Amino acid sequence: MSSDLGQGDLMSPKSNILLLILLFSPLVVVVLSSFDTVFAQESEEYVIRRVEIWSLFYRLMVAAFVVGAVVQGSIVYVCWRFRESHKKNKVKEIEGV
Amino acid sequence: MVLEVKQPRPMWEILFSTHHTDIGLLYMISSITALMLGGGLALALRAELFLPGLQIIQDPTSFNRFFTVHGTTMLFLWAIPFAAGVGNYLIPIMVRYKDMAWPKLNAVAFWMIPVGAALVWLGFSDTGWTAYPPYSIIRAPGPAAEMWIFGLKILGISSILGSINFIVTILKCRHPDLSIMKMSLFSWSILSISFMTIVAVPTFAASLIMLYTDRLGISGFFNPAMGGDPIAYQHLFWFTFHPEVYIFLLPAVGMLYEMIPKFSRKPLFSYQSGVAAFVLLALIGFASWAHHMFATGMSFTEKTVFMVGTLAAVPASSMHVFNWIATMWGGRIKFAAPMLFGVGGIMLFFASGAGGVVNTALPLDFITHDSYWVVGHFHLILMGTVSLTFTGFIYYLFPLITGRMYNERAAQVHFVLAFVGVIFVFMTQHLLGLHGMPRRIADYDGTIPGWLIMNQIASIGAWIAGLSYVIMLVNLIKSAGSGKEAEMRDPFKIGEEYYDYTRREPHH
Repeated sequence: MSSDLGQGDLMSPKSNILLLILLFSPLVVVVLSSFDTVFAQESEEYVIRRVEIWSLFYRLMVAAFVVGAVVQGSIVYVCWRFRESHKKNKVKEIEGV
Repeated sequence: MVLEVKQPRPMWEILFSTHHTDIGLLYMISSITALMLGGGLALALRAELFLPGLQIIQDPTSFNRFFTVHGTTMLFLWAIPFAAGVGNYLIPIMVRYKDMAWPKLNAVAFWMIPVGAALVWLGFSDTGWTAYPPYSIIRAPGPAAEMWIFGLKILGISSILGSINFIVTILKCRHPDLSIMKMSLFSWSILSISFMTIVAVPTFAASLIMLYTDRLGISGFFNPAMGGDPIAYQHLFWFTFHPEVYIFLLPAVGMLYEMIPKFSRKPLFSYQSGVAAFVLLALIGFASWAHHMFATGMSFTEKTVFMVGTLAAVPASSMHVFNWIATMWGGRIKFAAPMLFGVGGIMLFFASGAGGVVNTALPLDFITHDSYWVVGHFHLILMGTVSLTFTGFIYYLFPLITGRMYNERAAQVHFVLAFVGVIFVFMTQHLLGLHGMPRRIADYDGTIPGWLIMNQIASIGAWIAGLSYVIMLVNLIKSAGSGKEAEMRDPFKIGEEYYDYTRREPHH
């Protein structure tokens, strides 16, 4: 199967790096989004819980949507690019075989 | 009636057989029947909620009965038996043994299911599928609640017997040439859930006995009036049923590992990480039960431990998702119906997982607890990921079981309708929860902004999904009788044979 597909072209080092960037970038977003929420509890200022909780909710939702966009986007891209009907993905007939 | 076209046999022979493919088939047929019945109840519930007021289900108690039996049916008569059915069908083939370790015990485990199902359906209890005390021990009408208790007891014993059989078959009857690190990942998923079942279910079995004796009035384990503690039941219940979430999920994950490499025409990206993720999830599943109970009053330390325990499932789940995406990457993917359902299931797996992370964040749990958000969340995993993947696997196994092909076009229409319907229902229910709609209510105030329209969208989505499963049923029944004969070596014309499912031992 792999020889038919020209596997070497599809899984080149460049495409492997792209794959890793796409799939690990959500981790960076998760780490960055968790910073400022930690310090809110240490302050002795008056806190309106309802506001704080909804603000935390929206921050998490933003992180979830960013991560979701990357993960779901990767799945959609993979399905689109590597479907058997894609023009670059057709099995090529080898002359004389 | 003929169920296996290649080797026609009368129905009675299949009913009284102890052969693993026959038992597997019986499991699958009974669980698909349960899916249709439980789905029918869900459609009735959504029809009632289409408009405010009571129109179809005449009183709130009947509404409670409907969602109790719907939940019990979908979890214990569809999700678990279907996984057991596929396991029965494939595990002996995959581990290269002539049958399950104890064929007669296997048949006993299956035939307990109709008995448990009859008790649940004839009783039609109103306790909710969780049967929380004090309502379930003080007010819930009998004998419905007693029938539910005994029904669940029988279903629990069936699960344990099945699990013991799977463990012994996989560990002791596996072919000597097949090392455990070379067997299929589906076998790993069944092995993982079998161990989880044996550890988790006895706790609930004990709490069911306590619930029953509390109802009789001879004990007061969970009765506050007799010095008991209803919260203790919740701990016992969720100690069983949070791991049970993974018991529903992991077979679907195992099935995805069967389908994705095959339809991507590529070997699996990483077998070892798949095994590691199964083992991790099986362990972590026991570290998060109390996140269902943050609102009951626990110390901050307890809550933090269970929050972290819950979040620990994220890396293991991500390992599976990464594995699937990396397997598809660079492949030549054939989008036959099983693959469509598989990919749909993976997409919704992320959405439901993200909702779970919100639930487990302590402050956020309080705004989502007992709201429609929770209903949307767990349905997205059970209907979106588990049931869609199971459905894909029904299509996947269909030619191998019947020797005939289903109608591919109808199956693809089924997928589109089911996927759209699931998103309509359960994404909308997340929003309904954020707008403050509590779960388990038969009636609601239609003047509250957003409630009416969102309930109507959810109901329409449910009907679309319901219609899609009617299409599936017609397709399967028609194709089993008169479908085109399948080419058994490679029924999906993938061009490569990854696993020889067709090798079978003679019936006995």
